[in-house]
Amino acid sequence: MRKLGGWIRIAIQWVIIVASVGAISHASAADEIRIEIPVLPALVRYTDLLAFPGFFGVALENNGLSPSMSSKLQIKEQGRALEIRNATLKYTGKKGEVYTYEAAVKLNLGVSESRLAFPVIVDTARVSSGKVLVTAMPPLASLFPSELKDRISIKASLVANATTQQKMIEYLDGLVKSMAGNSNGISLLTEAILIDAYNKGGGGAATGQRDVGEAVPLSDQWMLLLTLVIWLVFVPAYLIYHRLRIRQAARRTAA
Amino acid sequence: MSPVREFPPWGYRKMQAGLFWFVVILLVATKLVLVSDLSVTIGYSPHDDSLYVERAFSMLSGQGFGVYDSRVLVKYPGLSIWLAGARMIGLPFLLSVNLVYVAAGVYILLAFTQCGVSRGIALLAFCLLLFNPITLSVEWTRVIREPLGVGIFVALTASMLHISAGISSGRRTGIHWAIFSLAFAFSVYLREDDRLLWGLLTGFVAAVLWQSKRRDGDYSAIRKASLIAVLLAPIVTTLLYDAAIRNFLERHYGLPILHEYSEGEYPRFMATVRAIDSLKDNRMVMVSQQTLQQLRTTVPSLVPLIDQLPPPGSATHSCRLHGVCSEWANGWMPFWIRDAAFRAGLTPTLPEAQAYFRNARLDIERACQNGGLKCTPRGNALVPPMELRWVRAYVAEAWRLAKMALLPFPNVVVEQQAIYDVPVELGRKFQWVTMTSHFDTERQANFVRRSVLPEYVSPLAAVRLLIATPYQIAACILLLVFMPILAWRNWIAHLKPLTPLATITTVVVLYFVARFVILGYVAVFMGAFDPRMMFSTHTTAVLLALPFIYESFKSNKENNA
Repeated sequence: MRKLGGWIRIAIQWVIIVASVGAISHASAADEIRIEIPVLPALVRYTDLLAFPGFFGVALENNGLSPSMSSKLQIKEQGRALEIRNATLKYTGKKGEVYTYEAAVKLNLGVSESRLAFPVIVDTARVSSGKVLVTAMPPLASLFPSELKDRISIKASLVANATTQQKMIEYLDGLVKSMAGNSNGISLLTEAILIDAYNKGGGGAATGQRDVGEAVPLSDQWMLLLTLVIWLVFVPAYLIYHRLRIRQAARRTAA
Repeated sequence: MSPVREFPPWGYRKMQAGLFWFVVILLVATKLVLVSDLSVTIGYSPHDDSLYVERAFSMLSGQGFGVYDSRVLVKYPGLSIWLAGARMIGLPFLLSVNLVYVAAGVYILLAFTQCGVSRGIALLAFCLLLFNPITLSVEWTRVIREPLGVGIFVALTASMLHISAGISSGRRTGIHWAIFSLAFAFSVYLREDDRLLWGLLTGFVAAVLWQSKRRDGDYSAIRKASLIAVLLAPIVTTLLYDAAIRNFLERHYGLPILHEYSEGEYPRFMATVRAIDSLKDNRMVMVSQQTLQQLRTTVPSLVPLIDQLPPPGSATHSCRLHGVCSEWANGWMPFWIRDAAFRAGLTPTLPEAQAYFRNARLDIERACQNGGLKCTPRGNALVPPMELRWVRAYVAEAWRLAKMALLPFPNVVVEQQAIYDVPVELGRKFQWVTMTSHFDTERQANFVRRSVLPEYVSPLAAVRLLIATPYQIAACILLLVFMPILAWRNWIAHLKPLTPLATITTVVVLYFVARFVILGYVAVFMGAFDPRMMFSTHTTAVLLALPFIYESFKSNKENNA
């Protein structure tokens, strides 16, 4: 589950990396990037959701774990595909415990656009023992510096940490519970995720709520201003005046 | 006829001193047992914990603060320097923080006795310092600046007390000036708001001059070269430290800029963007979505940056933490802009970043001049000038800060975390830099794996929780009593001149008030601060309260007599 979140991140990271390296060729290379991600065994209950990366992305967003803080998430093909900025992740099939996807990146070359696509495989066979293997096979992967591969791995681990996974498990368990006995239907689960997304959706602008910090007319604050003037100006001024008078009186007495 | 006070025999006094130090050692030992099972909390926070650790890691590898990116210079360098220094001498980070704190506590304990506070009261104050729940909290175990800052501020206060007491009694104070100078110079570059310490220095110097005048009857003491030298010592030390850091940064990044949010072109750029008129009139939004749309059409060089910016929404931290949902609040937008510029490849190095933001600013200013954009100047710094219409917000933020200072409610550690939310690689960097022993690489790599050894938990761990609430309530009451007594003590200063303890306490509290006023103002625009901003204020105020109250009543009694 969280592996998928990590997966999406990898795809996004990939876009950046590929663009930065300038690898715009469609030529294939033999190498691949393999990332082993530790997972909580309870995630085995929700591996079916991996076939719907789009809905999975929504579930992450429902929990404040947006796959991308910097772009809007778009769901396509009944949840089978997910698009973030210029990267797409599309579910292509399942063989046993192995899910396959096509990751694609649109590259703007200035005069034209090019599409770079490559397969990604997610092996969930070892979820119950706490591991998920993600393999991406981008072109020219062997040319990538190991530091970049490490960064991809770190990024994947970051978005797939134990807390995130636990939060997602609790969230999905809660949705299944609310489905009152219909827990075995993945379509019901995805429907519940979408309903939850709708209920949580809409920012301040959409809901008509005022943002905190909006300007308040000065005329609405005159009582407060008056109170502050009394306590911060008049009272200290009176105290200083009183003190000076005492001091003058003391001097006169001494004289 | 007043009774003749008989001094106790020499042996009795020696025994009293021995007992005093025995109690001090016992208290320190208890404190160490109480925190013996705590270890560094490892966390991914690219603007805090992990930033400091990564920078220290790079420093120790001889690579400056690491490869330049949009975050490497967003925080002052003090903590990274401390981390690297502690690692170099093989001192674990958490131990170093606790050592500074306890050492500062012993130092101020001695200062209290020098100022005439009874040993019993001084020990009670020392107890309040040692068992402060802030030091038993999760925040204390994080790699952030506040825990270290608290200890150093206590040391600063202690050195001021020693100097003041020394001047009053004619003792030499050179060593205390040296401690003050070092602590001051380091503190100024620890947190960005610590530049307010220059105000503390000014107040302290004024107090020293006033004390000298009172002792000698005029300002002749100021003409003595030695006094001028010691007064200049903290300034010279700080300037030297500043020059050394800037030199280090210039060698690695090409420009002597310590902090990109307050120096160089970026704050000017943000101020120029803020000057663009927008329908959105929100104190916590300096760059609205409408402003971005206007910039998109009028300043082409900003288009790649704007395209990378995240959209606001109800799921954002801005919405959930600050209640700003239709825009990005100021606590995030300045960071997003820098991140976006870097991601877009516009600011790959520090000089190029400076050039990019300078050119963008000039483009905006030109657009403002030729009517492409409608602009109204709103200050030149990252934080805009205060306006009367934000008074209500100011009072609300000041009230929030006051509550934090009175009752900070730290998150006391009950049980140490077993698995951290970080990848193994980052965890290992933390482990290497902070020398924490509490990081199980195997468990971190596989959440199913169980630890081979049981977790060690201090037998007194449960006591931490028991202490917290009663302490917080007692400390709050103490502070509420302390404040009016402080005002009253200063009110009667013409009848009973301020002692060194009263003078320094007054200087420190005035500094706190000034800091409180300024932080409240910043919070109006940047949003509510984390309670840890008030840790040093709370700790030092609680520490000074009891001796000050004791001294005030003693002075009053003597005055009446």
